[in-house]
Amino acid sequence: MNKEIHPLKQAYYDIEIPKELAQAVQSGMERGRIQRKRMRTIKRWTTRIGVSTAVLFILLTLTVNTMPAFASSLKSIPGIGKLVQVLQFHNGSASGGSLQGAANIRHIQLEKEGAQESVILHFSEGSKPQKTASLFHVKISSYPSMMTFSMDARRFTAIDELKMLEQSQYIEDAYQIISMDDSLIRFNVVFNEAVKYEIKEYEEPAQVVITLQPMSTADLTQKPSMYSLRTVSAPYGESQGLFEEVLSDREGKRILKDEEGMFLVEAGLFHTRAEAEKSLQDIEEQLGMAKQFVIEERAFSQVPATIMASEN
Amino acid sequence: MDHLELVNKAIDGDEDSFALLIQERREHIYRMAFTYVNNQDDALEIVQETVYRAFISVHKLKQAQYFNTWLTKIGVNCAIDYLRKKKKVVYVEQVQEASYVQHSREDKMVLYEALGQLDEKSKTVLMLRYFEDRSIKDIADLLDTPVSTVKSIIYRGLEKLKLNLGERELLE
Repeated sequence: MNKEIHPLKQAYYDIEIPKELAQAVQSGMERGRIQRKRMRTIKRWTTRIGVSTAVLFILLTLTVNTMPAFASSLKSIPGIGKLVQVLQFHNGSASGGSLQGAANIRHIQLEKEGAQESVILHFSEGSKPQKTASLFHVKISSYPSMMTFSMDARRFTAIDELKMLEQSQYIEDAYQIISMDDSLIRFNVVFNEAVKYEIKEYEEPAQVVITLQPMSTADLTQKPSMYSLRTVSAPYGESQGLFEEVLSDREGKRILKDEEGMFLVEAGLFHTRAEAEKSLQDIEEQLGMAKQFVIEERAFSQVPATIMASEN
Repeated sequence: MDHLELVNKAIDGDEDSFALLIQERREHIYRMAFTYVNNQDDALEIVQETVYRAFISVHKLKQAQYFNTWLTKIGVNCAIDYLRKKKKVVYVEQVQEASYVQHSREDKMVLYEALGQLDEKSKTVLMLRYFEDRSIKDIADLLDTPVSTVKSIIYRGLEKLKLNLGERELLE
């Protein structure tokens, strides 16, 4: 080493190492741990959604996504960012966005254009609009037709605007469901009939746009009732999270709001009562929880009934 | 346990191994960070960010033998990102920093002033080459820059600092 750079190198190695260095490393690892946990939770939501025969049947009868008719959508809505992707659904599930910081679902907007409607989700990070949408997952299910959104976000200041979505001619109800992970926000959008849908992700600013169109009458064939194996109704709260956890290996499980605004966890949907009863037996054998579950017959666009636990 | 074994365990998600690896390198990361920002708080913040980014992406590291190079790369990127963010936000603070520098130890100032004459990339290259003793090939990989470019950055950087290290022979 040449003499002339030596003092500089010496100065470099003389840089004092503060005692806070260990703490900085710790904090970095701690943040990493939290982030790893969030990624795992979201991954669970994106992978566990599966293909029980009942679910598959429903998906085939429900909807079609990415229709050419959607191609010209949104041109007339101001403030829309750049298109990132049109979500592709596999077995009724799709994901978009990417991991962001402490995101907030800031604002929900409903736009109508003839028979077509768009629900636009806006995000912010701190006080600024977010550039890229937060990681999210959408699951489509039926009886009733609905979308369940799981988003990697900390705050949901637009929560009151969910209610406003009932002004849509297609949306029956939209409501938050409990999440046991404080960085995962989840909500259901329930449709009053089968709809055609398309979900697009935009960036700069980040937006997620759900476009809805009516099904042509030819697609609206009569659907037979199905049998739902579900918990009894309970107020919004941790009980849904706990049931969901014990049912974690059931692919068709979902949290629903009933006709009176109570909540329940559905373990699965079946074509016949006998299949539902067999599944109920499994629950009794594996978990000893048959008393908390009931079988409910439900029509295609029917919201779950309020069923309370029996007294004994 | 040897270094490679630790890295492989860290890649598989073992936090203790990751912590040990970071412990070995944390002073290096800190010094590099300090070279860019010249104050303790910012340097610590860069270290934290580096550890965080490394932690959440270590499972993607494909070749265990490059752990230190990979970590250095993350550190450099964090420092440069940090500087960019900071530039956008505050100018007032920079003035304060400068006055802080004058009160700090003289050798620090020499370093800061010397490297302050260089752009970020040249600073990074010279720091890695002469303080961290990285090979030119290593630096080229680390910065995704061709070897020839790294050589010319060194050449021009040294000229600018008016340092003559006999490196010219090496560069030919």
